[in-house]
Amino acid sequence: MINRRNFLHAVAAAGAYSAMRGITFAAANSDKRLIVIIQRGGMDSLDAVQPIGDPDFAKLRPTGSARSFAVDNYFAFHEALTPLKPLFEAKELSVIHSLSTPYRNRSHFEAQDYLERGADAHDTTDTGWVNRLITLMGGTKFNFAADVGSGSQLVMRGPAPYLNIGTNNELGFWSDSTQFLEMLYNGDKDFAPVMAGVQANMQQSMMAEDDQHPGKGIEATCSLTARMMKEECRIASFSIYGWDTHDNQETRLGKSLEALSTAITQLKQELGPVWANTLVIAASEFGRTAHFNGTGGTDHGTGGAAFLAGGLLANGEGGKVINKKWPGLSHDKLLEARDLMPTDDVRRYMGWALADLYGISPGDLSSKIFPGVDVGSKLKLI
Amino acid sequence: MNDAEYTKAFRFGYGIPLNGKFDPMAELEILPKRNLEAESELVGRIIYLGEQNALAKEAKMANADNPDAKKTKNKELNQQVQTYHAQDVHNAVMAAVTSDQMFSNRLQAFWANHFALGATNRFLRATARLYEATTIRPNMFGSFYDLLVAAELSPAMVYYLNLQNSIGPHSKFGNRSKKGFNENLGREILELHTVGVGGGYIQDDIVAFSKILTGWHVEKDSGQVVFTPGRAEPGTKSMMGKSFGGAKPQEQDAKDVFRFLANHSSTASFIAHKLTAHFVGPNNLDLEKTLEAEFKSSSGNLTAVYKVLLTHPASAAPLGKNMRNDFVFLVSALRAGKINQQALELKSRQEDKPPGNPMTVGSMENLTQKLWAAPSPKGWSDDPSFWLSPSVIGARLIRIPIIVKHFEDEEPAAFAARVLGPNLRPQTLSTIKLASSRQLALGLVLASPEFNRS
Repeated sequence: MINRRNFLHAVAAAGAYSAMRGITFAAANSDKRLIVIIQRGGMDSLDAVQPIGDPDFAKLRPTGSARSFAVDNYFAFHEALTPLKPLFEAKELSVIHSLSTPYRNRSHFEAQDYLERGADAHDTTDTGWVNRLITLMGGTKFNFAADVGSGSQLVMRGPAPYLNIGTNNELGFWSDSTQFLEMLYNGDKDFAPVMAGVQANMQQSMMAEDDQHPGKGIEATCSLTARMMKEECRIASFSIYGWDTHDNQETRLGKSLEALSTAITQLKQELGPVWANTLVIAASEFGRTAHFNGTGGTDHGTGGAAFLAGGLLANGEGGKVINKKWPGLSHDKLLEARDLMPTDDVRRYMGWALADLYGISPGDLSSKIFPGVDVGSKLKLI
Repeated sequence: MNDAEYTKAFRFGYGIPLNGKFDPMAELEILPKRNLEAESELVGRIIYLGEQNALAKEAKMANADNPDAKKTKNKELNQQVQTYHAQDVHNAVMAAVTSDQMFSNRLQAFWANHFALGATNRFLRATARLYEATTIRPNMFGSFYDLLVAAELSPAMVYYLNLQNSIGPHSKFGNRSKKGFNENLGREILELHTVGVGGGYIQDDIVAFSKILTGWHVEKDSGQVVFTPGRAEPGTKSMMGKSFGGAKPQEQDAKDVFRFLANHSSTASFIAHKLTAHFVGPNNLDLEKTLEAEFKSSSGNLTAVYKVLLTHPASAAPLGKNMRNDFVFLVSALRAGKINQQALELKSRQEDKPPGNPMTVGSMENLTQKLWAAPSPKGWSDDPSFWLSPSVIGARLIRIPIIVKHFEDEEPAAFAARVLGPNLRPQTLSTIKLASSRQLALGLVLASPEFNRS
C-alpha cells in the first residue's frame, strides 16, 4: 500500500544507495511502469502477425496460417489476437516485426539466455538486463521490481533486490513466526539474502486476498502483477509458455496467443488509471521457419516479432506494425533459405523504450544494459 | 551412522536410510529387471487413450447437431487422465519415501530429468510415470547406448518431441499424403541428450538426423513404438561427417546414429558433467574428468561410471556446495519424521476431482519442480542458484507446516540431531530451542540451510 511514510522511505533509501554506489542518476521514484513478458518456446511471428501484403506469403503458406484480420495494408493479426484489436485501434498496442537477438543457432535455451542477458556474446555476463536496469535506477527495495510466477527468470537475476513471487501462498505457522526464520538464516551467505526476499514475498502474500483472480494460471499471474504495480512496484516480468509449435500449430499457437491477449487485456483492466503510465514489452527467443514443416507446424527459426502495449504508447508509436525494412519472403530473401531474415536487433527497441521510460542514457544502454548494441537513430516509442 | 556415511546418504540418497544402513555400491550388484507390470499397464493405457479418442471423434460425427456429445466424452477422458496422474505422482513420491534403494531412486530421477518430459497433454500425463518405470529404471545400469535407444524410442518421448507424425517426405506415405518431418526430437537429442550444445553439429546435421528418425512411431493398436519403412525417408544421409542409411530405410539406421552419438567424446564429457553437477555440485573438474575417462574406456558402461562417482574423493568431501532439488527436498522431509501410514494414503475427493493427498500430490503441485513437467525439454536445473531463489524456498516453506503437522511428536533437538547428523549447526539448534511450539521447531529443522543443501 502506498502511503506517505513508505514512499518517503523508498526515496530516502534509493538516494542513499545511489550515493553509496556513486550513481548520480536515480529514477527509482519514477511513476512509469515496465512489464516484460518472455514468450518461451519461439513464437511463429509469421502466423501471429501475418505479412499479407507480401505476395510470397500466400505462396509460402497456402493453407498453413490461421484466420486473421488486417490491421493495416500489409499486416494482419491471427484471430486469437482479436481481444487486442481495440487496444491497437486506441494506439495502445504495437508490433515490431522481423527482429531478433544477435543469436543465430536456434537452440531455445541459448536463445533465451541471449534475450534475457541482453548481451551480444553468450558468456559475457550472468545477470539479467532487468536486474542491471534496477541497479542503474537505484532501486533498493524488494518491492521495486518483481519476478512473478514459480521459479526464477534469468532476465531478473542479479545482485539488485527484487521480489521473486509465486501466486500460491498460504503461510501456515510462518505467518507469525518469521523472526525464527531470520534467526535460522542470519549470517548464511545464501539463505540470509533469500530470507529477505521470502519475507518481502510473505508481506505481498498477506495482501493476496485483494487479488481479483487468486490461484493459478495467467489470470492469477496478471492479478498479482497488477496489484503490486498499483503500489510501489515499477518493473515486473513473467513468462508465457507454449510457443514451440512443431506440430498441430493451428490449435497450439491459438492457445498461446489467447493467453497473451488475456494477459494484456487483463493488465489494462486491473491496472486501471495506472495503465496510462505503463509499457508492456513481450518478446520471444526467436521466430520459426518460414515454411511449414511436414507435421502441421514450424521448426526453430530466427527472425521474429515483439509486442508493445500500454497507455504510454498512445503518444508515440502506438497502433502500428513497426517495420523499418521488410526483408521479403522469397526463397533467396530467407536466412539460410528457411527463416524470416531479421532486419533489426530487438535490444535496440527495448533500449529505446528504457530511454523514453526512465531517461537511461545511450552510453549506459550500450555499455550496461545491452552491451554492444547500437542505439543510434532512435525511434520515439512512447 | 558415522559422518562419512551421513555425507553419502545426503549426497546420493534422501538423508538417513530407513534401516540405518546406506550401501549404494551394494545396490549396483542387484540385477536390473524389466517391470512387466508397468509395461502392460503402459500398453493398456495407450490403447485405452487411442480408443477413447476415436470414440470422442465418433461421438462428434454421430451427433453433428449436438456439440456437447464430444465435450462430455472429452471431460470423461480428462477426468480419467487426471486420476492416472494423481495416482502416478502419489506413487512416485511414496516409492521414493519407502525405498531402501535410495541411490537407484536418485539415479532414476536423474535420468528421467536428463531425458525429460513435459507432461502437458493427456497422452504424456497418462504415460510419464510408466515411462520412468519401463524405460529409465531397467536400462540405467547397462550401457548408455541401451538407455539412449530406450528413452528416444519410447512412446512418451516419441509423442513429447513430435516424432509421432514426422514422416519422410519422399517415403511411400509421404508421397501419398504430402506430409513431412519436423526437427524437434533430432535437435534435442543432440543438444540435450548426447553431445550437448557445441558438441560438433550444425543445422544440416539436425535436418539429416530428423530424416533418419522418420519411420518410428507409436502403433496405437499395440501401444508399441515400431519402425514402418513406408513412413521413413529413403536415401543416404550425411550427418556429422558420417554416412547413415541407404536407398531402403531400415530400423538399424537410427540405431547406427544412436551408437555413433553414444560413443562420441562430447557425449562422455556432457554426461560426466551432468552427473557431477547433479550429485556433487559445480566446480569439481577432477571428478568430471575421471567420470569422462571411465565413460570412454568402458564404452558407456553406466554401472562402471557410477562406481567411480561413488568412490571419487570429491564424493566424500563435506556437504554444502550443492542444493537439494524440490523432489529430493520433499522425499527427504517425508522420510525425516514419523508419519502415520493412513495420513500418507491417496484419498478420494468430491466426484469430479481426482484423488489427492496434501503431502504428496499437493506438494508436487505447489513446489516449483513439477514431476514429469519440466518447463522445457532441458529438464530441471542442477544449478544450486536456481533452487536458492525466494520463490523456490518460499514454496518449500509453505509446504513445511502441512507436512510437520503429521509428524509424530518428537523432541525437536533429538529430531534435528537424527535428521541432520554431523551437519547440524549450533545456530539451528539454538533457534529451535527458542521456537514457540514443537511443530514450529520441527518445521525449522526442515527449513534449515543444512537440510536444503547437499
